[in-house]
Amino acid sequence: MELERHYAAAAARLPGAFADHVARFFDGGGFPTARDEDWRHSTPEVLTRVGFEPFAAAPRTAGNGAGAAAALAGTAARFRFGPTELAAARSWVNGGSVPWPGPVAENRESLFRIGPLAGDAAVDSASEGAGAAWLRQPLDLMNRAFRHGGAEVRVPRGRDAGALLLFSARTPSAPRAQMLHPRFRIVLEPGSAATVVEVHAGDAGDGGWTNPTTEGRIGADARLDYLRVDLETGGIVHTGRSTFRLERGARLRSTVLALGAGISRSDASVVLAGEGAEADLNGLFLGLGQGVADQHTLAIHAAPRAVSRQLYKSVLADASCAIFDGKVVVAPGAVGTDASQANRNLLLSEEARVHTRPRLEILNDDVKCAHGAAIGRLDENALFYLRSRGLGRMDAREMLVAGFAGEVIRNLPSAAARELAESGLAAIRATGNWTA
Amino acid sequence: MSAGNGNLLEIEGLRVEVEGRQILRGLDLAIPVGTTHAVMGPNGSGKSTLAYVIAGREGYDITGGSIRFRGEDLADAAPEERARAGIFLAFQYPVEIPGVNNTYFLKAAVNEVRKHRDQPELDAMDFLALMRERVEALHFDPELIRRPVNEGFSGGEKKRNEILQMTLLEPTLAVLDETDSGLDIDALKVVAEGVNRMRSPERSFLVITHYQRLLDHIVPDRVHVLGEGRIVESGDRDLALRLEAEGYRRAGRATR
Ligand SMILES: Nc1ncnc2c1ncn2[C@@H]1O[C@H](COP(=O)(O)OP(=O)(O)O)[C@@H](O)[C@H]1O
Ligand SMILES: [Mg+2]
Repeated sequence: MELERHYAAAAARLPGAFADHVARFFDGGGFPTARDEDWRHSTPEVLTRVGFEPFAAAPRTAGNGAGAAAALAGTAARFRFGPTELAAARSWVNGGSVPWPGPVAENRESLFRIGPLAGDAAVDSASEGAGAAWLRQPLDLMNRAFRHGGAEVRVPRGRDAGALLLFSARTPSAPRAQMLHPRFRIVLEPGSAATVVEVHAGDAGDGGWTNPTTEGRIGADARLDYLRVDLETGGIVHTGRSTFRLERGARLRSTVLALGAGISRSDASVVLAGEGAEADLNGLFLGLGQGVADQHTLAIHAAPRAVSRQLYKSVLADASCAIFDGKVVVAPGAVGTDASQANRNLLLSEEARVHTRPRLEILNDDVKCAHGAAIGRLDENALFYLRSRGLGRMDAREMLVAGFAGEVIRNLPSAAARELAESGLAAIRATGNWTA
Repeated sequence: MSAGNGNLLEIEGLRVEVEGRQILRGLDLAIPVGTTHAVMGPNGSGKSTLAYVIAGREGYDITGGSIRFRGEDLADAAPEERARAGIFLAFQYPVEIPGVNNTYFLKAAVNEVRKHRDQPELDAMDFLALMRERVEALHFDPELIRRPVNEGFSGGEKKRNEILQMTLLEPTLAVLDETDSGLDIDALKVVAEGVNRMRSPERSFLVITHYQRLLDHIVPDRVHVLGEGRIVESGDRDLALRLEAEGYRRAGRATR
């Protein structure tokens, strides 16, 4: 009750907020609890300990100006995009637009359009139509209510936009824990192609909440390579989601890279709405400290002969925790479905924990579905093999860890992202106290 | 190079336990520098245990006796220290290492041992040139060096990869554990040639095999028969031919 009043008041104070969504959110049950099936093993109570403030409503913080630019430059430095790698970049600090400090290729403007998201009515919904019941994501309503900073990307028919960067950063909260709700929409017209790298970065100091939503439509025979990176630390609770709808022959590769040491919940959902659509849902969590990554996937096969492949991996040091909850739903008419799902976890310490739950809902019988989950420590046989060739104990371990993570890292859509993931592995290496 | 008596490897009264089970029960074996010795024996007689304990595998506990390499006791040496000192084991069952590129792994290993042997490390160009030469000499499929270590290799390809590693790491003592199993006759000849090219007055080989066929191609100086955890008979290469004809059951009768 108290939280509902808090958020209703916050929405009333924030120009441009959509207060009805706050009401809808609380009418629908409000914040999740650990009793919710969908939040089992996770720690949803961190969302309700305090009422978060929207940035714009809080006393002036580093939303604009030199402070924001400096904060952005600090995090942006972790991404070393080549001088012509990016066709465009948009960046925000605490929801306020700040120019991207790195290099961007010239003369690519005809290949795409990036603009602000229009009003509430224009919020596109990949989550309507087929599979809508499965796609219910209550926290998205809070994003709709408070969305602040965000963009729509549109790639015209037949064009190849190259790589586009959407970079949302935040600075430490003061004086109250603050929340950020970026919203992105990605529309690929038929036959077009793009790579979109979406980054959420920053340090919240004494806590905060980031709740981004990305929705997209991939037109017939269009191709999207989508990477979302969670780099948030310092007590930020991250709850992010992406939902893509694929038309006939469309292809998506979605990768979620969780490198933050905070608490993160991600939902990667795809609706294979057109015949022969094909989606890869990949994930990599490099867990450190008390970091928690609760990674959910959902592949809805709503059309015949579509393909979905899921590969989520975690490397867990210290007392980190990985949760995987992957779903494949095959609708009655989706004959010739080919779906696979794999979740593999590598534990490097006694304190690290894993919960994994693959779920299949198959409503017809002309389906090829494979799934598997594995939780293990470094393979003693492999360690001995490498050491017998002269590699030191730690080098051998690192080589095995890098090999394990490499399956996802190799396929990241940008050299800068691969480098970032390698630096995540270096951080794991630095923990050193591996017991396995 | 070797201990004063000319032995590169000296094993005396070696007793080894694995998971509380006594596998080697007082094994004696001396391999002079520059020689090739074969160890034969039935399945389960402890051949691989001997190979592993020479390479320093954890869990293979020495409960008696000693292993000396170049006169120095190996009991406390880690596997990587043995490898750097010049010991190489070609595994009976080479391990698949998903995600670790074969070339990357081999370059790291070669430079690690070179570093410890006071040889300059090889840069990428020099290493690839060396690798290409060794790959061709072994008729190794060049595609395989770009794949993850042993992943999806056939049995024969794995064995060739072991020998490729041996030719790159240039050990002074190479232990080959049933390298012939899984090889067809052509592959066997290629592997044997690879080994024979490396034979030199400074290098010794311990060739473990179940069948004498390999010894037609890698002709040993001495042949030993392992039975129930110790050497039960030793002789020249004719012993291998006799074992082939008579089987292992009669081996060691004369000495027991
Ligand atoms: N890791 C192990 N754990 C338990 N027993 C083992 C292990 N390795 C080998 N052994 C046992 O030791 C004996 C010798 O095995 P091994 O050295 O592999 O023989 P070989 O190579 O001659 O066939 C066998 O009885 C085998 O079952
Ligand atoms: Mg064996």
